[in-house]
This record gives sequence, C-alpha cells and structure tokens, in this order.
Amino acid sequence: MSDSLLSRIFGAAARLLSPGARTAVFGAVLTYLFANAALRPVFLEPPPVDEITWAQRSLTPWWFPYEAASTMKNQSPEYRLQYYWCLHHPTVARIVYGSVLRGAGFGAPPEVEYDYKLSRIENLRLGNNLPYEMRVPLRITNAVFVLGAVLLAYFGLLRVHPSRALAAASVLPIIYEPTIAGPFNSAVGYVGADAVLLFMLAAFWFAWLALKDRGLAGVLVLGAIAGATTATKLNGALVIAGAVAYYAICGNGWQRLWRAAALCAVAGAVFLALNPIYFRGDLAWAWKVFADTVRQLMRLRDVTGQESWVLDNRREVAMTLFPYLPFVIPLAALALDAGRRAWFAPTFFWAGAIIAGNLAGVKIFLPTYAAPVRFASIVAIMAITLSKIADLREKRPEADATSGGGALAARGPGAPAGAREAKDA
Amino acid sequence: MPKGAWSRLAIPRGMALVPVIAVLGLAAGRVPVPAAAAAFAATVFAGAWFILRSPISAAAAAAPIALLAPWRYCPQASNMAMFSLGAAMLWLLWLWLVRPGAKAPNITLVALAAAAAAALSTTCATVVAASAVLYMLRGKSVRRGAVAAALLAPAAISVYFHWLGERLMYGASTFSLWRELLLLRYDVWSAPAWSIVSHTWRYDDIMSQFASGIQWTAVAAACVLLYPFRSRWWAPATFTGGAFLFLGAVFLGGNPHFHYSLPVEAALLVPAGIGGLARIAEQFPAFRRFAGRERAGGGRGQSPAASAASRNAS
Repeated sequence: MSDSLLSRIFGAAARLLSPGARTAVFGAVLTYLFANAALRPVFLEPPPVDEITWAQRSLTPWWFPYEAASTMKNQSPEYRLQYYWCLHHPTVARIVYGSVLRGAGFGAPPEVEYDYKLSRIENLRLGNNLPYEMRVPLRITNAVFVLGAVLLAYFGLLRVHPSRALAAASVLPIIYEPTIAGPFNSAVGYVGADAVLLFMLAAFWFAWLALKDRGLAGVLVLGAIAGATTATKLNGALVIAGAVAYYAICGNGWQRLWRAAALCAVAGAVFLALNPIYFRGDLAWAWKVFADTVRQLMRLRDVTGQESWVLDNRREVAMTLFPYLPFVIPLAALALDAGRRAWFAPTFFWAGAIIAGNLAGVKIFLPTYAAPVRFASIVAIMAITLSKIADLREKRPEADATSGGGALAARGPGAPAGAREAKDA
Repeated sequence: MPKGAWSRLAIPRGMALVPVIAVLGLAAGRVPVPAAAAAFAATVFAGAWFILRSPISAAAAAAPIALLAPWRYCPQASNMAMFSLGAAMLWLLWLWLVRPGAKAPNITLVALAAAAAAALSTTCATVVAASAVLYMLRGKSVRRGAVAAALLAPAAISVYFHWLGERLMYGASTFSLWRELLLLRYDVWSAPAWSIVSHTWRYDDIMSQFASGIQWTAVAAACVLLYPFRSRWWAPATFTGGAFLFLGAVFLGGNPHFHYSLPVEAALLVPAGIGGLARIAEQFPAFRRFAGRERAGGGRGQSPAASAASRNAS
C-alpha cells in the first residue's frame, strides 16, 4: 500500500515536470550537496604545502619571454624562474588561477615565500602562507571545476541509464570521496592543477560518449580536449593513450590508424599552442625543453620519495591509490555483462588508462594524486552497475512472461538480452 | 574403516575439522591469528569449492581474503578472527545442509556445529549459531528439545565458567558479564591491529583517512551483481551470512573500516567473489570448462528443471 502511495506521489511529481526540468532538479540537488561538502575544504582548512608557490607561478605570465642569450647561465634570473615554472607545470591551471587572482584584484604574489626546507607547521608558524583573501577565491575556483566534473559524470551516467535518480545517486560517492572534497589536501582544498584536471578528464569522457560516432569532427574535438587536458597536468596525457588504444583495437581498417593519428596530432597542436615555451627556438630547443621537463619530473619524484612520511612500498601505494583492488573479480563479472553496450568501450579505455597509468607512474600517495584514480574508478564502477540494473529491468518482464526464464534458458546465457542491447551493439 | 563409513555416519568429512578446532580453541583460550586466518581462508575455500565445484574458482574466491590477512601474531585481533571463523563454519554447515538433494538435517551434526561455534568465540557465536540453526530447522520434524539443549548447553557452560571465574577471582556474589556474554563485543567486528601489524603506519594513516571506510561503491556494485543469484540454492546461506556480518559491523562495530575488519571483508568479498565467478563461468564456456561450473540445483524441495531455469534467468 505504502509502495503504491509512494509511487503515485513520485509519479505525480514527475508528471508535473518535463524531462529537462527533472534533469535540472537532480543537478541542483547534486550542486547543493557538493557545495555543502566543499564548504569546509574551501573556507576552513589550513594552507597546505605549495599554495603560495602556486600563486607565484600563476601570476607569472604564461607565455614565454624571448631573451637573446647564448646559454641559460647568461639569462636573467626572471627568465630562468619563468623557465622553471614552465617546466614545473603546463599552463592551463596557471592561466585559470592567474585570471581569477587578477580578477580579484591581486596583481602580484605575496612577499613571503614558502621555505621547503622547513615543515608545513613551521611554515605556518612563520606566516609563510597565502593570505586568506587570496586563498579562498582559488579554492572556490577549484570547487567550481570539481562541481563541473561531478555534473559531467552525472550527465554521462544518464547515457548509461535513463533514470535521473539512479544517475544522481551514482555520483554521490564522488561528492563524498575524501580525496576529492575531503578535509585535507583534497582536490578542492589544495591549490594546484588537480581540480582543473578532474574537470578535463570528465569532459573528455563525456565528449567521448557523445562524439565517438561523429567521424572526423568528433575525433578533432576529442583531440582538442585531450590536448587541453595534457596542458593542465602531464598525466592528463593518459587519456590520449586510452583513446589511441581504443581506436587501434576497436576501429575498422584504416580507421585504426588515421583516427588515432588525427587525435594525437590535434592534441599535440593544442598542447603546444598552450605552451609557447616550445616555440622559442628550433627543434633542438623544443627537445631540450621536453628533456628538461622529464628530468625535472624525475628529480621531484625522487626528492619527494625520500621524505620520511611517504610510502615506499609499491603494493601499499597501489592499494591506497586504488582501494577497489580486492573487488577485481566481481567488477570484472559486471564489466563482462556491460561489454556489449555502446558506452562501455570508451569508458573502459578511459578509466583503464587513468587507473593503470597513475598506478604505474605515481610512487607516493597524496590525496590529490589519488583523486583522478578514484574519480575514474567510481565513474566506471557506477556505470557498469547502472548497466546491470538496466539489464535486470529488461529481463524481468521477459522472465515473468515465460514463467521462470524459459525463453532465456532456450536462448542461452551468452546471447543478447533484448532490444536495448541489439540497439547498442 | 570400511568404505562408505563416513557417509553412513552422515558427517561430511570436511566437518570433522569442526570439533578439532573447537577443542583447540577451548584448550588454547585464544588461537593465534595466523592459524585462525588460515582456517578462515580454508573454510571460505571449501565453501566456494562446494558451490562452484572447482578448486581454481574456489582459490580465486578465497584469494582476496588470504591476501588481506596480516599473517602475523596480533592478539588484539584474535577475537575478531575467531568469531569470523565461527561464522564461516556455520556458513559451510548451512551450505551442506541445504545442498541440492539433501535430506533433513542431522541432529548430531547440528549439535556439534553449535558447540564448536560457541566454543570458538566463547559467547557470542552461540547467538549466531542459534539464529542460523533455528532458521535451518524451520518446519522440519526434528527433536526440537534436543536441538535446544544442544544450543543452550555451550552457552550455559560458558556462563557458568565466567561466573565461577568472577566468583573465585573477585569474590563477587553477582554476575556482571551479562552484556559481554549476550551481546557481540566491539572487538569482534573491527580491530585496527588486523591491518596495522602487517603494514606501515603511514599506510594505515592513509587508509583510515582516505579509503572511504566501508567501500560503499563496491557494496552497491556487489548488491546489484548478486541480485540475480537470489534464487540459487547457496544464496540464503551466503547472503544471510554476509548480511549478518556486514550489518553487525556497521551497527555494532564503532566506525569499522574495510581493512580493519575481517567480518566486513568476508561479508563483501566472499558473496561477491562467488557471484562474480559464477557469472563469469556462465558468460564464458571456455572458463567453465577450465574452472568448472557451480553446483546446479535449487536446494531441498526444488526440482533440477526449476533450478536450471532460475540459473539461466540470471
């Protein structure tokens, strides 16, 4: 009786709203819940490491100055500092933060500098931290980008299962994921490239679902987003690896080659356009910049890896970054069930590239390093779960109509289940 | 012993371990955690083998449990390991009793299992045993008086020894351990030592802060995966056991984390692993040939045709 009453109430409420309005209502609910979760990391968390450095590098012009000097040693200190900032991180997050800070009226970084030889607590005591009025706009920017990622995940999951309520419920684990909107060093609370990276990763996944059958135009758009993702943070290039693997494995004939090549070419062009440091010389200069970038990454990784607080056990790092490892068997079974869906292959390659690439490359645990892995994991797990729910809803009427699954038994467990699968396949 | 004597005794060979472990548990007071973890993993392996009819699949189902166990001496987690072992053995017993083609449960076996479970974790498993066995015996024409005596005797003996200890050690005239004896204690649901003894402090710090407690995403996925298996013969025992351990940990465990709690690990990984392997075997005939297929049948009273239909419907 109560079920019937509840379903009537929800049915009546649903009839009052158009489908678009219902989507917007659930989007508003998610926005409210996320804003609630993000309040603490935005306004209350003490400054983490690097915040002040990020303000400095964001207020440095992102285009690269030209100085006619023969060697780097002869360049001015400002030039060398800007070169170092360019190697340290690509430009997109710096452009975003820089525009926010300038828009908020801050044209220059604070006088103080973070002393990396001291601990975070000692730096806090000495006042080596970003002023509150500079910190909060940057963290609000983070929150907006992560909210964008959450909503893109919601819209993407709507392509997997048409129920808005289920799709909205499926992104709740992202909202309450400690590495994304948690209290300490999360993607929202830490001023860095990670919030923008999450947004770009989500944008790539959503665009892939929407555009994968649009031929060359779709490939070009995907390439542009992939280039911007790589220009946000270098491990964003993993989405290019995932897309290339997808086209190479799932494509037909020459499509295997030209789609992958076109995507790489566009992504590379966008990356270079956003990182003009590569154009300040000939090909040897560009190669030098690339080699210096890799060398810088390795050096930072080694230096950080020697800190006393980091994990030095690869198995523990893998488990902390990706805590769903013990569930590999049930998740594989769910993935097999979803394997025929049109959305599955892009989602699988997207999430697989992000998870595997980060597990292979990241040597230490930081919440911001874990955030992309957790985000991709949750999206993929909830997608295959929603797909299984859709399967069950389709099979129930058939099983009822054939008194205990006789038709299914005749068809066999490996055969397509219904019209939806036929359409997707 | 003549051939077939075991079957005439109506005690499955695997269950002969139950009184052995019970006696060991009683004698040692606390079985070391590595031994309990090994027995627990072996019980899970046996149950999965019984369902899936393949040692390879059973090993795959039990592997996550074995990989997450500390394999170190940690007395703080002893109660939790022993309690989980008792629950796993009841699960195995339940599976055996409801296997396809099984007859009415054997009263000797039930009494042995209840006594063993009670002995394993001294108090709390008696309640678990009583609940599970009463469920198993519902509607069956067995000697209920004998069953009640078999269930209550270990509990009564346990209460008596606790009372005696209190009387002798403290000279207490009244008994004050009712709560500890009747309710499941906090440390049987969650014990940080389970993880801490085998990992670095940094790992445990990270997992407790950033690992989302009880992996709710995986819980949702596992529930959806297992829903089509609800009519299989092994589902009532496996799902009830898993739900009992999971809900007990959530409501009584005091904020348990997945990696701190063997009951939570078992509640999530065992049913989901068995369901996942059964599903993979259905999807891939090659895997089925390689690693076997689950035992067909819908339990007592269900025809093979009906059970096959329910299997195909999933």
